[in-house]
Amino acid sequence: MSGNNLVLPIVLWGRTAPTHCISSLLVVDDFSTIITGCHDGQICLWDMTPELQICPRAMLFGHTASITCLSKASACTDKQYIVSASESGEMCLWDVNDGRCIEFTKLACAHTGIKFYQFSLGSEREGRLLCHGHYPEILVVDATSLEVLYSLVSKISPDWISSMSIIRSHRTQEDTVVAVSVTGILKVWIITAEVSRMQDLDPVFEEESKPIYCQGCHTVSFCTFTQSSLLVVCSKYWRVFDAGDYSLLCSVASEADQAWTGGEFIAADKVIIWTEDGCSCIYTLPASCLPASEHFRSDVGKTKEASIPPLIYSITERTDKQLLICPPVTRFFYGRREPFHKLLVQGDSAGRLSLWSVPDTCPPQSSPTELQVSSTVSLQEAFDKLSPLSAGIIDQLSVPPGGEEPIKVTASVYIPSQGRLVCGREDGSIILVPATQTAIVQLLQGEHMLRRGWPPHRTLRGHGNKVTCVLYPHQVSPRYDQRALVSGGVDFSVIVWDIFTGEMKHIFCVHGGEISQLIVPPENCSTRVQHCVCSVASDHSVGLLSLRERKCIMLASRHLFPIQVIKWRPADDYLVVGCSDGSVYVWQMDTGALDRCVMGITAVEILNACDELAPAAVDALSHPAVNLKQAMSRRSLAALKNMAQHKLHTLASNLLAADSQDKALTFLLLQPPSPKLPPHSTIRRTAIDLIGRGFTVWEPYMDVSAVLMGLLELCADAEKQLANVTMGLPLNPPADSARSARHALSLIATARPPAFITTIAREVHRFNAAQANSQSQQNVHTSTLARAKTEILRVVDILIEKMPGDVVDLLVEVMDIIMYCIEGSLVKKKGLQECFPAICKFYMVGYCDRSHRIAVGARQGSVALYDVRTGKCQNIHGHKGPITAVSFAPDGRYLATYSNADSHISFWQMNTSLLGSIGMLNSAPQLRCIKTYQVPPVQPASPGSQNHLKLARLIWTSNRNVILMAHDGKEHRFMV
Amino acid sequence: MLNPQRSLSELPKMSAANQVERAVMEEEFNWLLKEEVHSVLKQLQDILKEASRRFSMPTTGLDGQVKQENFILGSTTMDQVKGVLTLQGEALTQADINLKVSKSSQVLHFQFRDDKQWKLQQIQDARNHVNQALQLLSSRDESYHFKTGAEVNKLMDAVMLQLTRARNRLTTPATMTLPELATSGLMKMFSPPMPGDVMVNFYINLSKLCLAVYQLHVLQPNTTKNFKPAGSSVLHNPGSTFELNNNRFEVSHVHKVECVVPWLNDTLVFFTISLQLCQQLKDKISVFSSLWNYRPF
Repeated sequence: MSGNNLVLPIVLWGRTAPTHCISSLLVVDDFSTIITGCHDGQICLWDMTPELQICPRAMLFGHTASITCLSKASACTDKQYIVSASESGEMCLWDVNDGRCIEFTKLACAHTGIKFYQFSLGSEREGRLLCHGHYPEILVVDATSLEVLYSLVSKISPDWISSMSIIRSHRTQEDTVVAVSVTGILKVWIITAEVSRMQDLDPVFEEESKPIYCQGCHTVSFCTFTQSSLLVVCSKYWRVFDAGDYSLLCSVASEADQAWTGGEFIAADKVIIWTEDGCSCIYTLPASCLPASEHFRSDVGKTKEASIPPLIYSITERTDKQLLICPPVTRFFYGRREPFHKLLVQGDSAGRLSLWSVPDTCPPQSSPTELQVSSTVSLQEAFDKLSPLSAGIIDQLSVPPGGEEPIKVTASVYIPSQGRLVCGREDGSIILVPATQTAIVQLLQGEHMLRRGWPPHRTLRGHGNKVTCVLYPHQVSPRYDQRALVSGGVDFSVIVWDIFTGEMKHIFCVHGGEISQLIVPPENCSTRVQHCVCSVASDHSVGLLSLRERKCIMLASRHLFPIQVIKWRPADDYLVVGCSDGSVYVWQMDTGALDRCVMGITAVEILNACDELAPAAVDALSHPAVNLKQAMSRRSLAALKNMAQHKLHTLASNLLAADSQDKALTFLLLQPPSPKLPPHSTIRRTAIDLIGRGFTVWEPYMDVSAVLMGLLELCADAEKQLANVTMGLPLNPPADSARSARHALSLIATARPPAFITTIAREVHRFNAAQANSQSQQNVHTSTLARAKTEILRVVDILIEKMPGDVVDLLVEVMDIIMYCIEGSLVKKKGLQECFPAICKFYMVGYCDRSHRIAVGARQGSVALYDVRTGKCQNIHGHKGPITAVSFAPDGRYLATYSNADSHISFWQMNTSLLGSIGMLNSAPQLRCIKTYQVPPVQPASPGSQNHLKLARLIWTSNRNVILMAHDGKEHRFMV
Repeated sequence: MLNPQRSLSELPKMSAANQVERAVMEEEFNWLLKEEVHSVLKQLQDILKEASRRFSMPTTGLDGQVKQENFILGSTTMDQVKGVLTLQGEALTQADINLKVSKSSQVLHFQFRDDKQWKLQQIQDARNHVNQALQLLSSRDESYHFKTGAEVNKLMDAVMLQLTRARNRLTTPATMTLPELATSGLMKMFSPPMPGDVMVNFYINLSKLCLAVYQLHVLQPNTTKNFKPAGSSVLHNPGSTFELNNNRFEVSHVHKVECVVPWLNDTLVFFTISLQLCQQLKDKISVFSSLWNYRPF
């Protein structure tokens, strides 16, 4: 798409008309065009003949939300402009003749009504748009530039304006704006030439403000025939007011379950009022409302509800119409030029327009007459009438043999590099066709039309029902396999296809709802994520599906509302999910942990921050404190790294006196609570989080021991804190700190297992040494290490699970830690297997429940022998390389040790005599190597540290017989 | 409920069992449209009426009936700003602001002029949105028979749009530029008049009534510091600069104090519950979407 190439998008509708749920209506002055706006944001132009035949001409795209109102925007007929406004505050100016969008603007609040107003200054005529909506003023907007010029504001109880009308005076230069607020107060502003001319001056205040008790007013309209009355329509009644002093002339209540939604004067003495369900009634006004009558104003001041005026015509809803999903829109227009039609126009949710020509004469009978519809057409009918039918891209393939209805295309993607078009259809099949050939068949007329048969194509069958999205990831980024095509369906599945062979490679069934979107993650994500596609489903879940690993590496569910937007913070490994209710969920892609869930300003800021190309630190280094704060609040690791690199010497924030980031982080973690830095503040939590995630970066600069102890301190009570919180967010600050610290600890441990193990082991040794030497102890149970025992065991457990190789390298240290963390008495009672099953997986760990001893084979070839009762440890040296397996004889008399490195098996006699175990409790057991055998070495199945862990094990079959069982099943039997 | 695995593997062969299941689902769907929808709508109406009541809609002509509430903002000794605000419905009718100027240890005192009050547009907007949602709901009472799921979805979308707006108005205060703030009518509300180097702003953030006070100093025209006017923000940071009437200012101090308005908290809870109810109803309807869109292939 680069260079000077012009890319012209073409839309092929196919035989099915797009949905057009009409939300607003307009007929242009010369009655040549009807304009409809729909709930999806499109605008349709319909041509209308003087005979009232209507035919849709163009579909205008420009809004992102439901159209709330339409208005003309030019007075002259040679250039017909209209303006449209949407729910999201957008305003577009369109040329009706060619459908161009001339001007676009967006305000923070939505307009619900726009009226065009033209005034002349000498010979010059200028157009203004008077807008009202979800704000307490009337904005006066220039009709050509869409700029807000000034506003009409209220002094007395200002509130949203629900309806407005402009009263033009032919006598003076002053025109009047009459509006009714949502609380039922009538407001009057005078627009004089001076007011119209001024720009950006003080606001214009109202001339009059009068409560008329019309809450929930739908329309207020001025009688252009008599110039002296106003019609106000509310849901439950309609009223006529004197346009001079706004006194009530008559009031008519609606029938039981009818709700009026609008009305208009159609003659000096007649009004048409319509209801929510699409019925309309034409009434003759009582004499008290007619200025020409001698009874005019005769009822003013009388409170009695006037009797219902005579109904002369009625229009009921069509009986044959389709089911509607929301109330139709009705408007009345009358032509000021030939052919002077008085038209009632109605548009409904099925995209149908109906017209009634309202006669000027009264029917001869006195009873109300049913007015017949003059003309009606729906978008679909118009599509059906077309000859030839509107083309779809694979029409020739869409009608199944023997079928009637064509199968709709529900998703498509064009692959320019292969010239292929992929169409997912509502029956679950996916069709691949050569794009150009297909387009020629569909769009051009010629010889080829005579040839029968379908263009070459391939059908992929796999989805059970409608295909909702197709994605060809290679086209978005070359890092993906060019064979992979991904499709999602209503059947909750995501299927990966080989686009060349048509083979189904994999089905992901991870979601619990229809797949609504498939997205390619951005370039700079982690390598693992780079080979994923992101799937969004209607059960409000998001998944990262790895095409390479063929598994779902992350599933983020728990969102309460539909997902509206997915954003990425690759540098921080974050997936940001914006939901339809405005809440934002931040997920860590690697771990699948929900980092946080926020609403309000923070949510908006997080979403906006994702759009920034560079992280915060790049710009404005003049305020490092602010930057740091921002980076912290957004938890942008990249931004912080960036700042650390910039060697910010002055972190102006008064709580940070350190000279570089890592010190600051340690400082934030370890600084005792103070009024300026409370124990569980966000900034502290953020520091914890950052320490965890960036440990490999900070490690060289940190006192690892202090950091780990600090983190352990914070999560020492995690169990207690987090036990009460089952799944509800937000957490209370201490619980949140504990959670963060716990997470950071796991991250550090898994990122640098040796650092974690040696540090904690050192702490344990230090503690044990202190315990042994000093008599005056600090309370053992309050020290951090003691309180965090569960937490340490949890991390050790994770390490054994995730990085067994690292654990084996430091197995003795790990056992030291475990011995410290688990009560000896408990091990004695229940056995090691029950107390800490994970460690027993290793063949180099053995436990004897007779003698309560634990043997641990180390990498250096020594075996550490622990006595559970005393906690003492003794080393035996007998092998020249890493120990492969150890095992106690069932009676505890012998210990067999085997090292694959030196290919020897040794037997050690344990002193477990009655005398030894009772009388010499405190002395170390006497150990003697009684036998050594040479064994042929066992070859690992394949290289890799994991395989070395499970090379061979020792199994005692009796008190004196042992089998050395290799991983490949080979056995060697030995006897002591 | 629909089972993904099953719908995937068994749909092609539409068996008798499937037919039975369809019939059951159809019955369940009819129950949903006839009974469940109305019970949810009723619940929604009750909750939203409660929310609307909290806003104590001022009845015209009877303004005296709206309760006055006093809020004290910034009560700790560390706060340099202290404010006592009187909220009456959606308007601040009285305000007393004390500002301790740090360098001179002088205390500035301002209050609203007697003839002035400040309307909190956020509250009015939230109130209007919730009333619009109520209006939408009241048009579909028990006598109305919903015929399609799409119809219910459409109604829920419209209601949720209003409720989301109502909530957003309270949770996301309007962002303003500093010149907008300086020229806003709020600066002219005080007696004694606010000095040129102090600006205030009131807004609602979630359930809190917030008062922000900015102290400014004039930047010398010849200063070498590169001048970059600050954009729109809810709360500006110290160091933000702006230009007004050919003078350049820098914000030297920012003080923000706040106080929870209990009834606003209630309304936020009501909004959240209602939104969840709406979404749950939509989710229930969507379970049957395959039913009403169903075409055997």
